[in-house]
Amino acid sequence: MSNTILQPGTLELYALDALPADERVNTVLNLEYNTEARQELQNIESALEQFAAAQSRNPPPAVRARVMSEIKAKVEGHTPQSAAKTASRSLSLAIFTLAAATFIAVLSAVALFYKWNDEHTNNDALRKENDKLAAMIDKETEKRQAGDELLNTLKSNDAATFGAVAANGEIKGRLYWNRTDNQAVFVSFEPTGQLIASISGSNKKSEINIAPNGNLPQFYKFSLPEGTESLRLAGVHDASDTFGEVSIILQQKKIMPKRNLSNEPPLPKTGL
Amino acid sequence: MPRKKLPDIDEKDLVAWLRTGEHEAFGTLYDQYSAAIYGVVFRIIQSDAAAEDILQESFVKIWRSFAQYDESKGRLFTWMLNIARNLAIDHYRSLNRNPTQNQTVTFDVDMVDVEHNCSFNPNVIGLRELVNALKPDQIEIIEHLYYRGLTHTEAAEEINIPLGTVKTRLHSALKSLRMFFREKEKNNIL
Repeated sequence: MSNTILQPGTLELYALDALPADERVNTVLNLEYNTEARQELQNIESALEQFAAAQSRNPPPAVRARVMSEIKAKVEGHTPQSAAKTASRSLSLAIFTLAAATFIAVLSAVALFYKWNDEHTNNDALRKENDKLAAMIDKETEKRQAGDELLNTLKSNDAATFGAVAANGEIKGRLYWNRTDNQAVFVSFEPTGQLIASISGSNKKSEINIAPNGNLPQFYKFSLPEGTESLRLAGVHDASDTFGEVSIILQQKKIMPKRNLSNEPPLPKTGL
Repeated sequence: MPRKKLPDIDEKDLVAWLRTGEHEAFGTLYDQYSAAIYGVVFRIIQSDAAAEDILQESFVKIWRSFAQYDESKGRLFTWMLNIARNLAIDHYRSLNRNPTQNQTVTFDVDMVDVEHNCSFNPNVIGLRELVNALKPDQIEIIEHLYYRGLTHTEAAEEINIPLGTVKTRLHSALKSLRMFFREKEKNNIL
């Protein structure tokens, strides 16, 4: 696959839902325009499906009944019959639980007397570890939500978009302007370069440096002030050490009443 | 070791049917994919009772969030499998507390319980044969990313290789799998 943007392995990680949020966004955007990448993803997913199928194992029939019953209950607006989840095990479980509870109560009374301090310490340690795990999960969830929000901005029907075209005609990045929530996102298809966004409207002008630390991020989201009328990009792009600086030719912002990606021309293979 | 392959049903038709909200459509979805999903979940959790609960939770979640499924972002089964894998991995991590702790996971081809195997189907393939088609470093990367749900950064740290190598190894592992399945299809074994 001759794709200079998606590294080998990126689509595989995407299929496994193992990409960090920023790379996931970039990959989704690539897939949107790049038919070759879409075909490659299909092939990868097909292999992963066959891989899963090779591990097939029939679940007990009772699970199907529980699933369908829970769904039916939800559809009918009843409380899910979660009791059904363990129905087949409930009787033996109840007997076992009663016996175990009695036994544990006796043991606990003795153990509690001698080991209260140790248990207290262990519980604290366990609680700390659980808190740490919960924080880790929350962080991952936040990252994913941030990625999803970004995607929603980019894929909004109200988003205007234009490509940042280099001197050789290749598109080096794409700017999205979601006019509903006044958010703009620049997606870079190459990591190096300098880019300034000029914002003007209502007799006010401002500039935003999209590469504050000297490198273009894969995507850069920024808010636009109320009343923004135009958005321009200016900068240089290092395509590689060999080619040095490549100037970006600015294109006029295209406001589309409603985005229809299928009508957009496909981007060059080497660019996306 | 007999295994069932995924059914040859047009996914588009199934998705369209599911979008009607018909109860029966979801039953068909379950019948078609539950064995493959259960197999993967079991390999992650390695407990029947917990795997059954996760399978149930997965299908309820799939049903609840089906409106969010977007065909343009990937295939239905991949989407479903990722929901189930994530639930299974979360469950596994909650039991083991340390998500990156070194564990031997799921590629043990001998651990399959005969009682739960799918009925014999000549169009099937053994997991052992499949594992034999992969190199040890490819198996390792699949274990970390597929079964343990590590991010590629975590996998790089765990195996002590650069991030880029994680990607290239995964790429080559999937390439080997694709070649393996293509050969099998050619020989009409799958």
